Amino acid sequence: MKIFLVSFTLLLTSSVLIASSPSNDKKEKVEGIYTISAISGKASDFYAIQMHPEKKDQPHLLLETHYVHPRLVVGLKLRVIGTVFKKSPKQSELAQALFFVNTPSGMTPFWQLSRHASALDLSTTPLMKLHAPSSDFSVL
Amino acid sequence: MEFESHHSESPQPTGLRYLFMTWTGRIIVINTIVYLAMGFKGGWFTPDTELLLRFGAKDSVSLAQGDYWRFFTPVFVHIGLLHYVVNNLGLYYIGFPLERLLGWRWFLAVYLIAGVVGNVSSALFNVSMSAGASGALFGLLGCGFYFERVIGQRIAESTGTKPRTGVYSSMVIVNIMFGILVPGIDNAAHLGGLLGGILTTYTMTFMRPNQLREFNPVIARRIMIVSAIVLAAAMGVATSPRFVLYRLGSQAEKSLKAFDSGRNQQRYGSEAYSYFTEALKIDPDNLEFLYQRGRLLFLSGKTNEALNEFRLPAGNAEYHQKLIILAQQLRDRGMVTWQLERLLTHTQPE
Repeated sequence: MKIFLVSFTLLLTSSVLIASSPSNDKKEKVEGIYTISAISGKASDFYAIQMHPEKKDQPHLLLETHYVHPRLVVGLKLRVIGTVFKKSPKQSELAQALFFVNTPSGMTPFWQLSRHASALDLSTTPLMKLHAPSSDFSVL
Repeated sequence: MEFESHHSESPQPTGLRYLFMTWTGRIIVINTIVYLAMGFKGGWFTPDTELLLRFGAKDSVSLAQGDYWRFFTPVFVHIGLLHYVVNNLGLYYIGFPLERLLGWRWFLAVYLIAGVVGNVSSALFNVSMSAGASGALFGLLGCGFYFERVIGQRIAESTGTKPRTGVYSSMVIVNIMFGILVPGIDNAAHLGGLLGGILTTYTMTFMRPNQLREFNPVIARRIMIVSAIVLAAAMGVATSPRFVLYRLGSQAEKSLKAFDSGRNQQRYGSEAYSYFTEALKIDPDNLEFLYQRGRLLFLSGKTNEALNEFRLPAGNAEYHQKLIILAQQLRDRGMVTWQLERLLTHTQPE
């Protein structure tokens, strides 16, 4: 009986631990038509892209990234598919996103990663700072 | 001279009287308010480009997109504490003597016109973002320099002895030398401001009765009309998207050449990338810029981002061929290129 109780407790504990551990398979995905509401350079080497949804029941999205494709501009309405890694009542932050942009070559997908992507264990390449203070501004 | 020359009856005020009762002081107050506002937004020492843009810095791309007020606003914006202190200290020392000599209206005219001419000149010759009062300050120096030269000439004519070059001439020479020797200084704006200050002062001497030159408002009007036409034409060129694209493209090409030659790759690669980024804000479908920016991203290890850049050029037959050659070159360097090859396989050139 004692052995049975110990085994049962161990089994229960390990089940709880497994259930609460982060799993890549459980990432929430989001998809919909969004409008880019702001692209702000929060620091000299990363940007925050904010998007608001067409449908009211969808979350507002945020992608913090080191790179913005020149086709992504404020006011652009486009289809977005993303992986959410952080949720708050106000908005969901994306780990990565596919932006479907209408270009002269047709509907073109652009894949952008969050600047947190390396910590999120997504397959990605090393993110390198491409910031040149010397060409950013000069002093009068 | 009859330019409100009442030296004895109006000594330089001090303290708050200086700051609020003189236009030199008021400009310093405006500069300070703008600096404090930027500081509270996080720009005390090295404000980022977004903050500078928000406060009205000169930016070639924004000018090409219609922000014409950026010819004026940079006069009151400074990039960090040191820049703010140096320019306002300069204004404190050289501002009031000229304000007293010219009267506040002409003082403001010289200061603001020189500031605008400095920014137009900067937009023509320098594609980088810039801000600061020194174009306008150079205008004040130009004004002093002009008076020194003309008065010196009059003294030489009447006495036969040419006076030694004065303080303004020395300041102009020292500041121009400083601009040449220290990197990151917008010499185009300085020289433009200097020219604007000299020209405004020269015009003024025809418009107001004085002992230097014969009163002749007709000549003054002609100079003003010609100057306005030249300034408008210069503004038109500086705000033309085609001109800005050309300037950014040629700067990027220069940096790219240095990058490809292998010297200081981090610096030149970053510079070229910044120029291409700016150019793509005006023309986001420019295949050459996208190809070059993608190449830089690929070489710096940002493969995913590079592929985004290559997606548009890959559909164009000429660039498809260029991408095939690039993939070959990268393979020869020992780089992993399967993602690029997959993109080429999946993209049919037109």
